[in-house]
Amino acid sequence: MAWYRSIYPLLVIAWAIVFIILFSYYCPGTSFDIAYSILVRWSIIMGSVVIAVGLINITINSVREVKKRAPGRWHLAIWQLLLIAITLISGFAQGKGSPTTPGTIINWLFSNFYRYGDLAIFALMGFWMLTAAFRAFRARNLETFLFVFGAFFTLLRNAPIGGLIWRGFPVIGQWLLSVPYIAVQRALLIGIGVGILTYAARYFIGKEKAAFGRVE
Amino acid sequence: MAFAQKNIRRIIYILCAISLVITFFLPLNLPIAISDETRKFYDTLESLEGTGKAVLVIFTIPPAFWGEMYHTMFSALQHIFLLKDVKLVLVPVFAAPGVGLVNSLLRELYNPLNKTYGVDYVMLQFIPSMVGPALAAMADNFRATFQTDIRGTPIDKLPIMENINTLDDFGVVIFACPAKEHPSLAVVLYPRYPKMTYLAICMAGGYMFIAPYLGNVYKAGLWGITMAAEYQQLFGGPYTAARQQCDGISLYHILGLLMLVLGNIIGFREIVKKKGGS
Repeated sequence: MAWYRSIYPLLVIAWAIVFIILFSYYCPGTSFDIAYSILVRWSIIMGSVVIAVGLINITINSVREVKKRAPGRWHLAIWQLLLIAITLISGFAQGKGSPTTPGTIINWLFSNFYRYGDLAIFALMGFWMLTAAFRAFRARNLETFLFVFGAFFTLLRNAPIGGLIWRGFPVIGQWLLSVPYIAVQRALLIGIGVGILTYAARYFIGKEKAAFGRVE
Repeated sequence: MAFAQKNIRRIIYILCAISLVITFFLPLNLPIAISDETRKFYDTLESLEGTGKAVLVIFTIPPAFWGEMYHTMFSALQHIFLLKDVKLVLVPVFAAPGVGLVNSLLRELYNPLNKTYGVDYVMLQFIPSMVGPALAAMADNFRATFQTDIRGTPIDKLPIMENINTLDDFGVVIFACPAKEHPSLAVVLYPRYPKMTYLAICMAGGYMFIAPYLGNVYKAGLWGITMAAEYQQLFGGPYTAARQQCDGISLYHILGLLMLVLGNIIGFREIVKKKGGS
């Protein structure tokens, strides 16, 4: 394989970026600071580019599904393409200015379709959580008993009625959240941090090839 | 019994709907105790009154979480607007729909409170990148990160931005996001500006993401509708929606507890039956 098609050029770029960030952090006031600022700005610009790439990808995939007449999906793909077109046209038709200006089509679409649709889907979780509390949240052994015990007091801590039933409920609930819970959460975060370091080390010695688009 | 067992999911859904709807018609007006955390949040903002400092609110809010985030955001922003000689600078990052949501909230606030855009408050241009790089850019060079506000006006022409060049020029930084982006502030912004006062706004479920940073990175946090109602009660705001929803939350939680207890009793009975006990 030609050297430029191997992972080494990508590794060199990754190494260079990491060194710039590390040096700017540990050696402030050097020219690495300027390089760091440029990199940060690039990452923001890339945020916009990623949105455009996503739009192209989703359009290509939807067109492909319509062409193939993918069973159960092709009509949804048409609907998706239609919605993309409507949103894009209404956005461009508005021209310059904020898309949140009242009275514009894009604002109307956002306020009446997207906002409440998204909200309604999320609100359904309330129903699922209740059925889950009944059907799945059962004390089958010591571990699950502790789980149910914690849930009981946390529920009574979160609802204003808990303190009215007994003043101790919010106190116990708050203690569970502030002491054992935070201890575990911090331990988890430290574990995740160590995991990220391990991943970074593997990444920089070229062991994590998936990150460079190579599948072993 | 067989009917109930067969249709248990439907029964639970109906009970859930009733528990939420009933408080619209029959408000319970349960008393709400003000927690220490809410008071800390309130005192931090209150200490800014008369200082002439601005509050920076960085937010990323997808519409799915607006139902809950609305109340906490409303409470905090209303309090900021009610403080004398305190300006408000808003920065939307990552989730673009948050711009429209917060704008609609501002429309509810600035007219009754007689606030002027560009003088008392401003929303700067949207940063489309992930939260981490956006915070890094603001920490690195706040002024250079923004060319215009959200309406396209160059920030040099905005009176509110006259004395704001770096993050140090703000009195308090509030980071509002539903949940999992909160550690980004602790990792990116806090090490560069450790002396800054940070406050967190999130959903009730987002507590798990801010909890490890409360007291060290974040001075205080406001999470969930209950805390929004507590906050309103603290400064006597004219807004009661959060308080009204607290009744629904109470009933819903009681129902959740009943389901938990009932489910465990039935589960225990099943285990006993399987073991051949009586």
